[in-house]
Amino acid sequence: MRKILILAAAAAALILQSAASTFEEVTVFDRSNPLNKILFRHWQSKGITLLRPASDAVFIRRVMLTAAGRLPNADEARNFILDGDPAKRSKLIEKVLFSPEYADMQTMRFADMLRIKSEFPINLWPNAVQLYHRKIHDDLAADRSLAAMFYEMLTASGSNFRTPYANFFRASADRSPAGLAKMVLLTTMGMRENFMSEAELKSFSMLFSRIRYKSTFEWKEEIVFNDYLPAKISAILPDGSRVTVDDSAGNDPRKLFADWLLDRDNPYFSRAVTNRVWHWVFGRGIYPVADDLPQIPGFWAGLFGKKPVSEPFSREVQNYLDTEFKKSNYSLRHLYRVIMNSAAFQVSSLNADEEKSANFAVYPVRRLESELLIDALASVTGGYDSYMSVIPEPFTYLPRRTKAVNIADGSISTGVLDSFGRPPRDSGQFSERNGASSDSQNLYLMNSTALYRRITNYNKQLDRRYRNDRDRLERTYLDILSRFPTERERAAFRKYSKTPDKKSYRMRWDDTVWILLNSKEFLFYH
Amino acid sequence: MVDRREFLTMMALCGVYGAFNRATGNLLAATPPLTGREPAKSVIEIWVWGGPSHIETFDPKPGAGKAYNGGYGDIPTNVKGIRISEFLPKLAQQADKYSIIRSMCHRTNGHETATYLMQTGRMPGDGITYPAIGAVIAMLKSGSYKGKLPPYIALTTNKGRFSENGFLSDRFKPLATGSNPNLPQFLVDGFVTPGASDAGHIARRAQYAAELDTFSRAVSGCRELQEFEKSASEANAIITGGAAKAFDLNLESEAMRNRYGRTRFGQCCLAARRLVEAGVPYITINAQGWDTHKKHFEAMQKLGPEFDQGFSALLEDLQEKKLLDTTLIWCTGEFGRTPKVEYHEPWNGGRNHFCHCFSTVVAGGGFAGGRVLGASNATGERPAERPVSPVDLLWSIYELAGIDPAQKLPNPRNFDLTILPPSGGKNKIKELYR
Repeated sequence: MRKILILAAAAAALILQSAASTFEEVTVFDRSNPLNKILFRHWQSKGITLLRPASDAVFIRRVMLTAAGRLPNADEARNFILDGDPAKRSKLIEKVLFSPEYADMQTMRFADMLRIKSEFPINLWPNAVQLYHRKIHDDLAADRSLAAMFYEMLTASGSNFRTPYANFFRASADRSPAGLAKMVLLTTMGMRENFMSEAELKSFSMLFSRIRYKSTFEWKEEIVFNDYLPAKISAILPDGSRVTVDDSAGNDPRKLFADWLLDRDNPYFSRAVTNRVWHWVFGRGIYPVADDLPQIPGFWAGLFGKKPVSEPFSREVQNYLDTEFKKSNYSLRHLYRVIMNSAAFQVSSLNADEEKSANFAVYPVRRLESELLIDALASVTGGYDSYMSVIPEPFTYLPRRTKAVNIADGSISTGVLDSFGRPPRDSGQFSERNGASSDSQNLYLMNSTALYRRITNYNKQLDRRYRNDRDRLERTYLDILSRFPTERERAAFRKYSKTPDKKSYRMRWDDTVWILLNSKEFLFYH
Repeated sequence: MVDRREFLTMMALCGVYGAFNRATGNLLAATPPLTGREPAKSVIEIWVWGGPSHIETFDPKPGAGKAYNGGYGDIPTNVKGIRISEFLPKLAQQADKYSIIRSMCHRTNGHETATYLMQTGRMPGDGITYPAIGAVIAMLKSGSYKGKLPPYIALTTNKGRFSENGFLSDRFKPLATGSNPNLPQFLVDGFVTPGASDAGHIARRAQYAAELDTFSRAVSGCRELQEFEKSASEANAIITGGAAKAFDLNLESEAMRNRYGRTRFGQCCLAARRLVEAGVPYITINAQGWDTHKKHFEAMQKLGPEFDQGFSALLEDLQEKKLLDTTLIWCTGEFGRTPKVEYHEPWNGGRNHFCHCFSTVVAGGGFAGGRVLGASNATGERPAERPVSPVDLLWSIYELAGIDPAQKLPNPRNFDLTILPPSGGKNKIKELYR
């Protein structure tokens, strides 16, 4: 009896081990990486040890989704897993950061942040949306300095149809000076106005009080320009320094703010960007809320102590990333490179607990963003949704097989994209994107004709290509989960295929694909 | 003592949203009805999308000449003194169950703007998108509604974004069923499984799925995954449980299906009745094809009989099932059509958009039948008496559904707004209350 128990325990241990070994490596992290040095010191101080890296299969999926917004295809996954090169992870990161999809994915994130949409309450109008979106895409593909991009946005004047970054000050639901000031605080500093007193906010808003909009004879064209009124401006910058501007030609108070913000010694811009990127990679910031950051002592004149001040999980990590960002001349690509090469990004997602989660010692499991999930379903099964808008007339039709990630206009959507939490782009806050699960999402995944049709089409293609069940199962797993099936999974498939029930046999492939597309492993970052 | 309106405001200001929803339901159930009778449990909105001509429906003008009536006349109904268009003989036999407003009017001739106005009681342009009446009723009744189907269902498509949940939570966006109830299987995406469902197969598949779930066996300590499992099992209960049967029109007898007419519109009316039986608080039928700019009378040869049969069967059937008293029906377009026929090119006997005077029909749920409110002038071009605005109409629908339209609308964005402009109740259509 005891023997049997021991055997059962051993068998259970083996099964458990094999489940984990699909997702984890037993190797150790590279401790020479400077960010890893900081992280491991931090984790040790919290008593967190024994961390395992994610497996190669998990890693390639993470890198592709995070940086390029798509799943690896079967060949990419297979080749990467079987590659014996010890430097293959950092090489893959480089490859993905220079792929065309990198710019697509980051442009979507910027478009969320900058509220790019045609309609209410932003009302950029379709032509302006296209122009603005393309310019951002070009700049991000070229890895232009973010400081230069934001300087241009903060000071641009001109037509919404001709000067792309003139749309920066149009993309605000509230165009009063105070509304623009709040928008600028959120977008460029990751902060809310609630640190300022009303008088301070009013004074800060003066910097945006000369922005004017005028229409032209072209339908919906709008010119953003710097007026000469109010004639004399006295305003306070967030750090408390007071500036004055008179109405001499060429004086644009926006420039004073841009010069202040993008000065190398100003900590606010780099902190806002590093927190945003950290949030994009992990679903949370270095500070708990990446776009509600606190004042920085010594750089703020506002209401100290009125609001509980949040802390970064590690000040050293924050400082290191700020320094790297500035050293690389404000390169977004470099920030991704540094973060994705770190142990925080490459650590396993299994065995989470509160302490590990709070300190990024476990990779956060969370649902794929709406657009990525819909694109993943499309790329695996070949069934793309079509996107169009009947407002405004004339109707807009996006080309067939457009990826959801590449929809420039936040006003163009589908019920499915909305139900998976695509942000409306009204405020630009991270909280607009909803990652929560809902019944309607599951009804779509489990029981929609759209998905049934896609599963059938997918299997029709494989019917023609594969005679051998073993190879076919492998291909299905690589397509959907970017990994090889385990022995246990292969056995489960064989068992299901042998069922005497005719319907189950006939549907064994459809059922397998349905199960994998409905699995947490497919639907979640892990 | 805190009264109901104050309490609602307070809840809204506190932003206790989830708690609020539950509280409202109980609150509504506990409050004495606003109109001294039980509020309507469900609302069916028949949206004659595109704008029906009042002259070929509920406000015929036999004396106005061919320039206005195209040569079509009127017929008597089962209520003495009420005559409607000859296109609606079956509805003429049900006139004791509904009342007609012949003096609806507003000031906007664009489909979207007029739809928004008729649905929200507000003109667009103040920088805020208000929720449509269906979303508001769905939200305020969601506390007492225990069904598994969504509380606001559109048969079969949505009216576009001007008639959705506005600034309310996405939960109150209408579920557009898609598909067509006149097909052999009404395939409501997500709810109805294509083909016959097979419990044995579903169980075997579930067992197989558990064996393939290597990730769940390996991972631990993640709250997001637990939430996902919860909604997945809820969805599974909807699919395998009985909720989706409300969409299965094959459970009706052949005779019943034929009674509503084997048309998309007719079967939508039948589906609406089944959804009422399932307790769904708000159902909208979006009838299509009524934007008859060209060859209006030819189009009416098809539209008229379909509409006549479906709507009349719905009224009669609800009455027979004793559901008419608790089901409020309102039937309208966003506007009517130009009374003067455009005989010339390119319209060739068409009618264009007309907001200055049109007809709306109300029935059940506290509305009386067999009455006419207001009247149009001899050519049907202007109200002759008792003009009724969209707010007057909406106010009464809310009130009979047990909702005070002057109350604050709790919302995730913390706008401090009321359902309708608080001054809007002055001209509500109380003449038509039972």
